[in-house]
Amino acid sequence: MDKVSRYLVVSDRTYADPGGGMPVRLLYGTRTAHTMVVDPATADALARRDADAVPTAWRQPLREQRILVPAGEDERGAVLDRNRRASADRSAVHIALLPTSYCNMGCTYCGQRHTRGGLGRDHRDRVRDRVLRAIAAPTTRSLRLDWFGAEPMAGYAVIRSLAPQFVAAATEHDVSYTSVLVTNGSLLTVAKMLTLVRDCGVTHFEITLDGPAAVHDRHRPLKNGRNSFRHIVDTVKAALDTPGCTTHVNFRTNVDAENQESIPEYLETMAGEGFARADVSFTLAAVHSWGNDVSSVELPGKAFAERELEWLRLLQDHALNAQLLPHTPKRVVCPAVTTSAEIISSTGNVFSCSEYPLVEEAEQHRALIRLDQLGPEPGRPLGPFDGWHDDIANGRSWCTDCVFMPTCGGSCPKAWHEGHPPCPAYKFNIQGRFDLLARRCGLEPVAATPAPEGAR
Amino acid sequence: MSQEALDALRSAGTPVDLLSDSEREIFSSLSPDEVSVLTSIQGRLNEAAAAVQGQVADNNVNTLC
Repeated sequence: MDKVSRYLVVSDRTYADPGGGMPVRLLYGTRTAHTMVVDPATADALARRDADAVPTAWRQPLREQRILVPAGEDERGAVLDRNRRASADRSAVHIALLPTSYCNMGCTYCGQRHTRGGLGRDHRDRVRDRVLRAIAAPTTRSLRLDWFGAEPMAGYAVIRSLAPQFVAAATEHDVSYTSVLVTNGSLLTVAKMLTLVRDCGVTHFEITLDGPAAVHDRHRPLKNGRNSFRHIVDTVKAALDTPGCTTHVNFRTNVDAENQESIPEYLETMAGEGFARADVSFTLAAVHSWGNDVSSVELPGKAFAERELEWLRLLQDHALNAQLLPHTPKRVVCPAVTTSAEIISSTGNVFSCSEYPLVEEAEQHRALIRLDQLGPEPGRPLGPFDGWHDDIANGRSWCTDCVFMPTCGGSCPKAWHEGHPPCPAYKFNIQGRFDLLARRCGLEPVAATPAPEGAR
Repeated sequence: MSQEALDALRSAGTPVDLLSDSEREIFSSLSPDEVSVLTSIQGRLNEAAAAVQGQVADNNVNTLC
Protein backbone atom coordinates (compact mmCIF):
# COMPACT_ATOMS: atom_id res chain seq x y z
CA MET A 1 0.00 0.00 0.00
CA ASP A 2 1.46 3.35 -1.07
CA LYS A 3 0.91 6.91 0.00
CA VAL A 4 2.03 10.10 -1.69
CA SER A 5 5.15 11.47 -0.05
CA ARG A 6 4.88 14.60 2.05
CA TYR A 7 8.16 15.60 0.39
CA LEU A 8 6.76 16.31 -3.04
CA VAL A 9 6.24 19.53 -4.94
CA VAL A 10 4.04 19.49 -8.06
CA SER A 11 4.23 22.25 -10.64
CA ASP A 12 1.20 24.49 -10.67
CA ARG A 13 1.58 24.94 -14.38
CA THR A 14 1.22 22.53 -17.24
CA TYR A 15 3.86 22.71 -19.95
CA ALA A 16 4.24 21.46 -23.49
CA ASP A 17 6.59 21.62 -26.41
CA PRO A 18 5.90 24.64 -28.66
CA GLY A 19 3.20 24.10 -31.21
CA GLY A 20 0.73 22.27 -28.97
CA GLY A 21 2.57 19.16 -27.89
CA MET A 22 1.45 16.75 -25.23
CA PRO A 23 0.86 18.58 -21.91
CA VAL A 24 3.01 17.59 -18.94
CA ARG A 25 3.62 18.72 -15.38
CA LEU A 26 6.79 18.61 -13.31
CA LEU A 27 7.38 16.86 -10.00
CA TYR A 28 10.20 17.59 -7.58
CA GLY A 29 10.71 14.86 -5.01
CA THR A 30 12.78 16.44 -2.26
CA ARG A 31 13.79 13.13 -0.63
CA THR A 32 15.85 12.29 -3.71
CA ALA A 33 16.11 15.81 -5.16
CA HIS A 34 14.91 14.42 -8.47
CA THR A 35 12.73 16.17 -11.02
CA MET A 36 10.29 14.10 -13.05
CA VAL A 37 7.88 14.80 -15.84
CA VAL A 38 4.43 13.18 -15.79
CA ASP A 39 1.16 13.48 -17.62
CA PRO A 40 -1.37 15.90 -16.09
CA ALA A 41 -3.71 13.18 -14.80
CA THR A 42 -0.93 11.54 -12.81
CA ALA A 43 0.18 14.93 -11.51
CA ASP A 44 -3.38 15.68 -10.42
CA ALA A 45 -3.59 12.39 -8.52
CA LEU A 46 -0.29 13.13 -6.75
CA ALA A 47 -1.30 16.69 -5.95
CA ARG A 48 -4.55 15.35 -4.43
CA ARG A 49 -2.43 12.85 -2.48
CA ASP A 50 -4.53 10.09 -4.00
CA ALA A 51 -2.04 7.26 -4.44
CA ASP A 52 -4.73 4.84 -5.58
CA ALA A 53 -5.42 7.03 -8.61
CA VAL A 54 -1.81 6.89 -9.81
CA PRO A 55 -1.61 4.69 -12.92
CA THR A 56 0.10 1.36 -12.29
CA ALA A 57 2.87 2.02 -14.80
CA TRP A 58 4.04 5.07 -12.88
CA ARG A 59 4.23 3.43 -9.47
CA GLN A 60 7.65 1.83 -9.60
CA PRO A 61 9.57 4.90 -10.84
CA LEU A 62 7.67 7.06 -8.37
CA ARG A 63 8.61 4.64 -5.58
CA GLU A 64 12.24 4.75 -6.67
CA GLN A 65 12.20 8.51 -6.30
CA ARG A 66 10.38 8.26 -2.93
CA ILE A 67 7.42 10.12 -4.36
CA LEU A 68 5.26 7.14 -3.53
CA VAL A 69 6.25 5.62 -0.18
CA PRO A 70 4.90 2.82 2.03
CA ALA A 71 1.66 3.96 3.66
CA GLY A 72 2.93 3.34 7.17
CA GLU A 73 6.30 5.04 6.83
CA ASP A 74 7.31 7.85 9.18
CA GLU A 75 8.94 9.92 6.48
CA ARG A 76 10.33 12.68 8.65
CA GLY A 77 11.89 10.08 10.91
CA ALA A 78 13.32 8.22 7.93
CA VAL A 79 14.91 11.36 6.51
CA LEU A 80 16.32 12.46 9.86
CA ASP A 81 17.68 8.96 10.50
CA ARG A 82 19.35 9.04 7.09
CA ASN A 83 20.90 12.38 8.01
CA ARG A 84 21.97 11.13 11.44
CA ARG A 85 23.72 8.18 9.81
CA ALA A 86 25.50 10.53 7.41
CA SER A 87 26.55 12.79 10.29
CA ALA A 88 27.90 9.80 12.21
CA ASP A 89 29.86 8.54 9.19
CA ARG A 90 33.54 8.62 10.08
CA SER A 91 34.67 7.75 6.56
CA ALA A 92 34.00 11.22 5.09
CA VAL A 93 36.28 13.73 6.80
CA HIS A 94 35.94 17.46 6.19
CA ILE A 95 38.54 19.90 7.50
CA ALA A 96 38.56 23.64 6.87
CA LEU A 97 41.79 25.51 7.51
CA LEU A 98 42.43 29.23 7.86
CA PRO A 99 46.04 29.69 6.73
CA THR A 100 46.08 33.34 7.79
CA SER A 101 44.11 35.87 9.85
CA TYR A 102 44.60 38.61 7.27
CA CYS A 103 42.38 39.77 4.43
CA ASN A 104 43.38 42.39 1.90
CA MET A 105 39.78 43.46 1.35
CA GLY A 106 37.55 45.61 3.52
CA CYS A 107 34.05 44.52 2.53
CA THR A 108 31.29 46.57 4.09
CA TYR A 109 29.26 43.52 5.17
CA CYS A 110 32.09 41.45 6.67
CA GLY A 111 31.78 40.35 10.29
CA GLN A 112 35.32 39.04 10.73
CA ARG A 113 38.22 40.84 12.39
CA HIS A 114 41.40 40.58 10.36
CA THR A 115 44.92 40.99 11.67
CA ARG A 116 48.32 40.81 10.04
CA GLY A 117 50.90 38.22 10.92
CA GLY A 118 51.70 34.72 9.73
CA LEU A 119 51.11 31.43 11.46
CA GLY A 120 53.67 30.33 13.98
CA ARG A 121 55.81 27.33 13.05
CA ASP A 122 54.30 25.28 15.87
CA HIS A 123 50.77 25.99 14.72
CA ARG A 124 51.58 25.09 11.14
CA ASP A 125 53.16 21.81 12.25
CA ARG A 126 50.17 20.98 14.44
CA VAL A 127 47.78 21.65 11.55
CA ARG A 128 49.84 19.42 9.26
CA ASP A 129 49.97 16.61 11.82
CA ARG A 130 46.24 16.87 12.49
CA VAL A 131 45.33 16.54 8.81
CA LEU A 132 47.84 13.77 8.16
CA ARG A 133 46.46 11.78 11.11
CA ALA A 134 42.94 12.21 9.74
CA ILE A 135 44.06 10.91 6.33
CA ALA A 136 45.84 7.94 7.89
CA ALA A 137 42.93 6.98 10.16
CA PRO A 138 41.69 3.52 9.17
CA THR A 139 38.09 4.75 8.91
CA THR A 140 38.84 7.58 6.46
CA ARG A 141 37.79 7.03 2.84
CA SER A 142 37.52 10.62 1.65
CA LEU A 143 38.85 13.99 2.73
CA ARG A 144 37.52 17.37 1.77
CA LEU A 145 40.04 20.06 2.65
CA ASP A 146 38.82 23.65 2.51
CA TRP A 147 41.09 26.67 2.50
CA PHE A 148 39.04 29.36 4.09
CA GLY A 149 39.49 32.91 5.31
CA ALA A 150 40.06 35.75 6.11
CA GLU A 151 41.72 35.64 2.65
CA PRO A 152 43.47 32.28 2.33
CA MET A 153 45.63 33.46 -0.56
CA ALA A 154 47.27 35.87 1.90
CA GLY A 155 48.56 32.62 3.38
CA TYR A 156 49.54 31.11 0.04
CA ALA A 157 52.93 30.06 1.39
CA VAL A 158 51.17 27.93 3.99
CA ILE A 159 48.93 26.32 1.37
CA ARG A 160 51.91 25.74 -0.90
CA SER A 161 53.80 24.11 1.95
CA LEU A 162 51.05 21.91 3.39
CA ALA A 163 48.70 20.93 0.57
CA PRO A 164 51.15 18.80 -1.47
CA GLN A 165 51.84 16.77 1.68
CA PHE A 166 48.10 16.20 2.11
CA VAL A 167 47.69 15.17 -1.52
CA ALA A 168 50.60 12.73 -1.29
CA ALA A 169 49.31 11.23 1.96
CA ALA A 170 45.82 10.83 0.49
CA THR A 171 47.28 9.00 -2.50
CA GLU A 172 49.37 6.79 -0.23
CA HIS A 173 46.36 5.83 1.90
CA ASP A 174 43.95 5.53 -1.05
CA VAL A 175 41.80 8.34 0.32
CA SER A 176 39.72 10.37 -2.13
CA TYR A 177 40.85 14.02 -1.93
CA THR A 178 38.89 17.12 -2.88
CA SER A 179 39.78 20.66 -1.95
CA VAL A 180 37.87 23.93 -2.07
CA LEU A 181 39.58 27.31 -2.01
CA VAL A 182 37.24 30.08 -0.86
CA THR A 183 38.90 33.27 -2.00
CA ASN A 184 38.28 36.89 -2.94
CA GLY A 185 40.40 36.16 -6.01
CA SER A 186 42.47 39.33 -5.91
CA LEU A 187 45.74 37.55 -5.07
CA LEU A 188 45.35 34.79 -7.64
CA THR A 189 47.65 34.67 -10.62
CA VAL A 190 47.56 32.20 -13.49
CA ALA A 191 50.73 30.54 -12.21
CA LYS A 192 49.33 30.24 -8.69
CA MET A 193 46.03 28.82 -9.91
CA LEU A 194 47.91 26.21 -11.91
CA THR A 195 50.05 25.33 -8.89
CA LEU A 196 46.96 25.12 -6.70
CA VAL A 197 45.29 22.74 -9.15
CA ARG A 198 48.28 20.62 -10.13
CA ASP A 199 50.28 20.48 -6.89
CA CYS A 200 47.86 21.42 -4.12
CA GLY A 201 44.86 19.34 -5.22
CA VAL A 202 42.40 22.24 -5.39
CA THR A 203 39.33 20.94 -7.21
CA HIS A 204 37.00 23.89 -6.68
CA PHE A 205 37.49 27.65 -6.47
CA GLU A 206 34.78 29.71 -4.81
CA ILE A 207 35.39 33.32 -5.89
CA THR A 208 33.26 36.29 -4.96
CA LEU A 209 32.37 39.01 -7.44
CA ASP A 210 29.72 41.41 -6.23
CA GLY A 211 28.71 43.01 -9.51
CA PRO A 212 30.19 44.59 -12.62
CA ALA A 213 33.57 46.27 -12.21
CA ALA A 214 32.49 49.59 -10.75
CA VAL A 215 30.05 48.02 -8.29
CA HIS A 216 32.31 45.14 -7.26
CA ASP A 217 35.24 47.44 -6.69
CA ARG A 218 33.12 49.70 -4.48
CA HIS A 219 31.37 46.83 -2.64
CA ARG A 220 34.60 44.89 -2.06
CA PRO A 221 37.37 47.49 -1.86
CA LEU A 222 40.96 46.44 -1.49
CA LYS A 223 42.59 47.92 1.58
CA ASN A 224 45.35 49.41 -0.60
CA GLY A 225 42.75 51.39 -2.52
CA ARG A 226 43.11 49.47 -5.77
CA ASN A 227 40.47 47.60 -7.76
CA SER A 228 40.23 43.86 -8.29
CA PHE A 229 37.43 43.01 -10.74
CA ARG A 230 39.46 43.16 -13.93
CA HIS A 231 42.38 41.26 -12.42
CA ILE A 232 40.13 38.45 -11.14
CA VAL A 233 38.25 38.03 -14.41
CA ASP A 234 41.39 38.06 -16.56
CA THR A 235 43.23 35.65 -14.27
CA VAL A 236 40.46 33.09 -14.02
CA LYS A 237 39.81 33.21 -17.74
CA ALA A 238 43.46 32.69 -18.62
CA ALA A 239 43.91 29.93 -16.06
CA LEU A 240 40.89 27.96 -17.21
CA ASP A 241 42.06 28.24 -20.80
CA THR A 242 45.43 26.74 -19.88
CA PRO A 243 45.77 23.06 -20.76
CA GLY A 244 45.82 20.87 -17.67
CA CYS A 245 43.97 23.33 -15.44
CA THR A 246 41.14 20.92 -14.70
CA THR A 247 39.09 22.46 -11.95
CA HIS A 248 35.77 24.15 -11.30
CA VAL A 249 35.13 27.80 -10.52
CA ASN A 250 31.98 29.09 -8.90
CA PHE A 251 31.47 32.85 -8.95
CA ARG A 252 29.46 33.87 -5.95
CA THR A 253 27.73 37.20 -5.63
CA ASN A 254 26.70 38.50 -2.23
CA VAL A 255 23.57 40.51 -2.97
CA ASP A 256 22.27 43.31 -0.80
CA ALA A 257 20.31 46.52 -1.20
CA GLU A 258 23.37 48.32 -2.57
CA ASN A 259 24.29 46.06 -5.50
CA GLN A 260 21.03 44.35 -6.45
CA GLU A 261 20.26 46.70 -9.33
CA SER A 262 23.59 45.92 -10.96
CA ILE A 263 23.10 42.16 -11.24
CA PRO A 264 21.75 42.19 -14.84
CA GLU A 265 24.75 44.20 -16.02
CA TYR A 266 27.07 41.86 -14.12
CA LEU A 267 25.62 38.76 -15.75
CA GLU A 268 25.83 40.33 -19.19
CA THR A 269 29.45 41.23 -18.49
CA MET A 270 30.37 37.73 -17.37
CA ALA A 271 28.73 36.20 -20.43
CA GLY A 272 30.65 38.64 -22.60
CA GLU A 273 33.86 37.56 -20.86
CA GLY A 274 33.23 33.99 -21.98
CA PHE A 275 32.19 32.35 -18.72
CA ALA A 276 29.32 30.41 -20.27
CA ARG A 277 31.27 27.18 -19.98
CA ALA A 278 30.82 23.87 -18.22
CA ASP A 279 33.58 24.38 -15.65
CA VAL A 280 32.13 27.66 -14.36
CA SER A 281 28.97 28.23 -12.36
CA PHE A 282 27.29 31.13 -10.62
CA THR A 283 25.60 31.57 -7.25
CA LEU A 284 23.65 34.59 -6.09
CA ALA A 285 23.31 34.72 -2.32
CA ALA A 286 21.67 37.24 -0.03
CA VAL A 287 24.02 38.98 2.38
CA HIS A 288 23.32 37.74 5.90
CA SER A 289 24.61 38.49 9.36
CA TRP A 290 28.01 37.00 10.12
CA GLY A 291 27.97 38.00 13.77
CA ASN A 292 27.51 41.61 12.64
CA ASP A 293 24.60 43.93 11.94
CA VAL A 294 23.72 43.99 8.24
CA SER A 295 20.08 44.91 8.75
CA SER A 296 20.40 48.18 6.84
CA VAL A 297 21.40 46.43 3.60
CA GLU A 298 20.06 42.87 3.99
CA LEU A 299 17.31 41.76 1.59
CA PRO A 300 14.49 39.83 3.30
CA GLY A 301 14.19 36.23 2.07
CA LYS A 302 10.98 36.68 0.10
CA ALA A 303 12.12 39.95 -1.47
CA PHE A 304 15.37 38.31 -2.53
CA ALA A 305 13.51 35.30 -3.94
CA GLU A 306 11.31 37.54 -6.09
CA ARG A 307 14.27 39.36 -7.58
CA GLU A 308 16.25 36.14 -7.89
CA LEU A 309 13.84 34.70 -10.48
CA GLU A 310 14.63 37.58 -12.80
CA TRP A 311 18.36 36.96 -12.33
CA LEU A 312 18.04 33.21 -12.83
CA ARG A 313 16.23 33.91 -16.09
CA LEU A 314 19.07 36.18 -17.19
CA LEU A 315 21.63 33.53 -16.26
CA GLN A 316 19.73 31.13 -18.47
CA ASP A 317 19.48 33.66 -21.30
CA HIS A 318 23.24 34.12 -21.19
CA ALA A 319 23.87 30.33 -20.97
CA LEU A 320 25.64 30.83 -17.63
CA ASN A 321 25.40 27.79 -15.35
CA ALA A 322 23.39 28.07 -12.17
CA GLN A 323 21.60 25.43 -10.19
CA LEU A 324 17.83 25.83 -10.41
CA LEU A 325 17.05 23.10 -7.89
CA PRO A 326 19.35 20.97 -5.71
CA HIS A 327 20.04 17.62 -7.34
CA THR A 328 21.39 15.90 -4.24
CA PRO A 329 19.61 15.64 -0.89
CA LYS A 330 21.36 17.46 1.95
CA ARG A 331 22.31 14.72 4.36
CA VAL A 332 24.97 16.71 6.22
CA VAL A 333 23.89 20.32 6.14
CA CYS A 334 27.21 21.77 7.29
CA PRO A 335 30.34 20.96 9.34
CA ALA A 336 28.48 21.95 12.51
CA VAL A 337 26.38 18.77 12.50
CA THR A 338 29.09 16.14 12.19
CA THR A 339 32.10 15.52 14.39
CA SER A 340 33.87 14.28 11.25
CA ALA A 341 34.21 17.94 10.27
CA GLU A 342 36.19 20.67 11.95
CA ILE A 343 37.31 24.20 11.27
CA ILE A 344 40.78 25.09 12.49
CA SER A 345 41.17 28.84 12.86
CA SER A 346 44.43 30.65 12.28
CA THR A 347 44.23 31.53 15.98
CA GLY A 348 44.55 27.87 16.97
CA ASN A 349 40.93 27.58 18.02
CA VAL A 350 38.88 24.66 16.71
CA PHE A 351 35.25 25.26 15.76
CA SER A 352 32.39 23.29 14.31
CA CYS A 353 30.73 26.29 12.64
CA SER A 354 32.38 28.09 9.72
CA GLU A 355 30.91 31.42 10.80
CA TYR A 356 32.83 31.55 14.07
CA PRO A 357 36.54 31.87 13.14
CA LEU A 358 37.87 35.44 13.37
CA VAL A 359 34.55 36.74 14.70
CA GLU A 360 35.71 38.41 17.88
CA GLU A 361 33.00 37.22 20.26
CA ALA A 362 33.14 33.67 18.92
CA GLU A 363 36.93 33.47 19.08
CA GLN A 364 36.71 34.50 22.73
CA HIS A 365 33.82 32.32 23.84
CA ARG A 366 32.78 29.66 21.32
CA ALA A 367 35.87 27.61 20.51
CA LEU A 368 35.37 23.90 21.17
CA ILE A 369 39.00 23.32 22.03
CA ARG A 370 42.49 24.53 21.17
CA LEU A 371 44.31 22.67 18.43
CA ASP A 372 47.17 21.82 20.78
CA GLN A 373 44.72 20.21 23.20
CA LEU A 374 43.23 17.81 20.65
CA GLY A 375 44.27 14.22 21.13
CA PRO A 376 45.60 11.92 18.40
CA GLU A 377 42.20 10.43 17.64
CA PRO A 378 40.19 11.79 14.68
CA GLY A 379 37.02 13.82 15.20
CA ARG A 380 36.33 16.99 17.16
CA PRO A 381 34.46 17.47 20.44
CA LEU A 382 30.72 18.00 20.28
CA GLY A 383 29.68 21.53 19.30
CA PRO A 384 26.56 23.60 19.87
CA PHE A 385 24.74 22.31 16.77
CA ASP A 386 25.47 18.59 16.80
CA GLY A 387 21.94 17.98 18.07
CA TRP A 388 20.47 19.66 15.00
CA HIS A 389 18.61 16.60 13.71
CA ASP A 390 16.94 16.25 17.12
CA ASP A 391 16.08 19.94 17.05
CA ILE A 392 14.23 19.38 13.77
CA ALA A 393 12.52 16.26 15.11
CA ASN A 394 11.40 18.18 18.19
CA GLY A 395 9.92 21.11 16.29
CA ARG A 396 12.55 23.67 17.22
CA SER A 397 12.57 25.09 13.68
CA TRP A 398 10.11 25.42 10.84
CA CYS A 399 12.04 22.65 9.10
CA THR A 400 10.01 20.06 11.02
CA ASP A 401 7.07 20.37 8.65
CA CYS A 402 8.80 21.85 5.62
CA VAL A 403 8.52 20.04 2.29
CA PHE A 404 12.09 21.07 1.47
CA MET A 405 13.73 19.72 4.63
CA PRO A 406 15.39 16.76 2.82
CA THR A 407 17.11 18.96 0.21
CA CYS A 408 17.85 21.94 2.46
CA GLY A 409 18.70 20.18 5.70
CA GLY A 410 17.81 23.29 7.65
CA SER A 411 20.37 25.45 5.82
CA CYS A 412 22.13 26.95 8.87
CA PRO A 413 21.57 25.73 12.45
CA LYS A 414 23.38 28.78 13.81
CA ALA A 415 20.97 31.15 12.09
CA TRP A 416 17.99 29.26 13.53
CA HIS A 417 19.50 29.42 17.00
CA GLU A 418 19.91 33.17 16.57
CA GLY A 419 16.30 33.59 15.48
CA HIS A 420 16.99 34.29 11.80
CA PRO A 421 15.32 31.59 9.68
CA PRO A 422 17.79 30.95 6.83
CA CYS A 423 15.34 29.35 4.39
CA PRO A 424 16.67 28.94 0.85
CA ALA A 425 15.22 31.11 -1.90
CA TYR A 426 13.73 28.10 -3.71
CA LYS A 427 11.31 27.65 -0.83
CA PHE A 428 9.70 30.93 -1.90
CA ASN A 429 10.08 30.71 -5.67
CA ILE A 430 9.92 27.01 -6.55
CA GLN A 431 7.08 27.54 -9.01
CA GLY A 432 9.08 30.17 -10.85
CA ARG A 433 12.03 27.80 -10.91
CA PHE A 434 9.81 25.12 -12.44
CA ASP A 435 8.99 27.65 -15.16
CA LEU A 436 12.68 28.26 -15.75
CA LEU A 437 13.50 24.56 -15.73
CA ALA A 438 10.73 23.93 -18.25
CA ARG A 439 12.03 26.78 -20.34
CA ARG A 440 15.54 25.34 -20.22
CA CYS A 441 14.06 22.13 -21.62
CA GLY A 442 12.31 23.99 -24.42
CA LEU A 443 8.82 23.80 -22.91
CA GLU A 444 6.21 26.52 -22.71
CA PRO A 445 3.47 26.95 -20.11
CA VAL A 446 0.06 26.05 -21.48
CA ALA A 447 -2.20 26.54 -18.46
CA ALA A 448 -2.08 27.40 -14.79
CA THR A 449 -3.45 24.68 -12.53
CA PRO A 450 -3.19 25.63 -8.86
CA ALA A 451 -1.90 22.76 -6.76
CA PRO A 452 -3.77 21.96 -3.58
CA GLU A 453 -2.49 23.25 -0.25
CA GLY A 454 0.32 21.11 1.05
CA ALA A 455 1.55 20.08 -2.38
CA ARG A 456 3.63 23.22 -2.75
CA MET B 1 9.61 -0.39 -24.25
CA SER B 2 10.93 -2.50 -27.06
CA GLN B 3 14.48 -2.18 -28.33
CA GLU B 4 13.12 -1.15 -31.74
CA ALA B 5 11.15 1.70 -30.20
CA LEU B 6 14.17 2.82 -28.21
CA ASP B 7 16.36 2.74 -31.29
CA ALA B 8 13.80 4.72 -33.22
CA LEU B 9 13.64 7.38 -30.53
CA ARG B 10 17.41 7.49 -30.26
CA SER B 11 17.85 7.93 -33.99
CA ALA B 12 15.27 10.71 -33.92
CA GLY B 13 17.48 12.59 -31.49
CA THR B 14 15.57 11.79 -28.31
CA PRO B 15 18.04 11.44 -25.40
CA VAL B 16 16.78 8.01 -24.30
CA ASP B 17 20.17 7.07 -22.90
CA LEU B 18 19.70 9.63 -20.15
CA LEU B 19 16.65 7.75 -18.86
CA SER B 20 16.73 5.20 -16.08
CA ASP B 21 15.40 1.70 -16.73
CA SER B 22 12.25 2.42 -14.75
CA GLU B 23 11.70 5.68 -16.58
CA ARG B 24 11.82 3.72 -19.83
CA GLU B 25 9.54 1.06 -18.42
CA ILE B 26 6.63 3.39 -17.71
CA PHE B 27 6.40 4.34 -21.32
CA SER B 28 5.32 0.87 -22.31
CA SER B 29 1.71 1.72 -21.43
CA LEU B 30 1.59 4.93 -23.45
CA SER B 31 0.98 5.66 -27.08
CA PRO B 32 4.04 6.11 -29.32
CA ASP B 33 3.47 9.87 -29.46
CA GLU B 34 3.18 10.12 -25.70
CA VAL B 35 6.26 8.00 -25.26
CA SER B 36 8.21 10.21 -27.59
CA VAL B 37 7.20 13.39 -25.79
CA LEU B 38 7.73 12.14 -22.23
CA THR B 39 11.03 10.45 -23.09
CA SER B 40 12.32 13.54 -24.74
CA ILE B 41 11.33 15.87 -21.91
CA GLN B 42 12.62 13.60 -19.14
CA GLY B 43 15.90 13.28 -20.97
CA ARG B 44 16.16 17.04 -21.24
CA LEU B 45 15.35 17.41 -17.53
CA ASN B 46 18.02 14.92 -16.55
CA GLU B 47 20.50 16.66 -18.82
CA ALA B 48 19.67 20.05 -17.29
CA ALA B 49 20.21 18.68 -13.78
CA ALA B 50 23.66 17.43 -14.68
CA ALA B 51 24.71 20.53 -16.58
CA VAL B 52 27.40 21.90 -14.29
CA GLN B 53 30.60 19.93 -14.68
CA GLY B 54 32.54 19.23 -11.51
CA GLN B 55 30.43 21.35 -9.18
CA VAL B 56 30.72 20.42 -5.50
CA ALA B 57 28.15 17.65 -5.27
CA ASP B 58 26.92 18.35 -1.79
CA ASN B 59 27.54 22.04 -1.81
CA ASN B 60 27.85 23.34 1.70
CA VAL B 61 30.41 25.95 0.88
CA ASN B 62 29.66 28.74 3.29
CA THR B 63 31.63 31.66 2.08
CA LEU B 64 32.20 35.19 3.11
CA CYS B 65 35.33 35.90 1.13
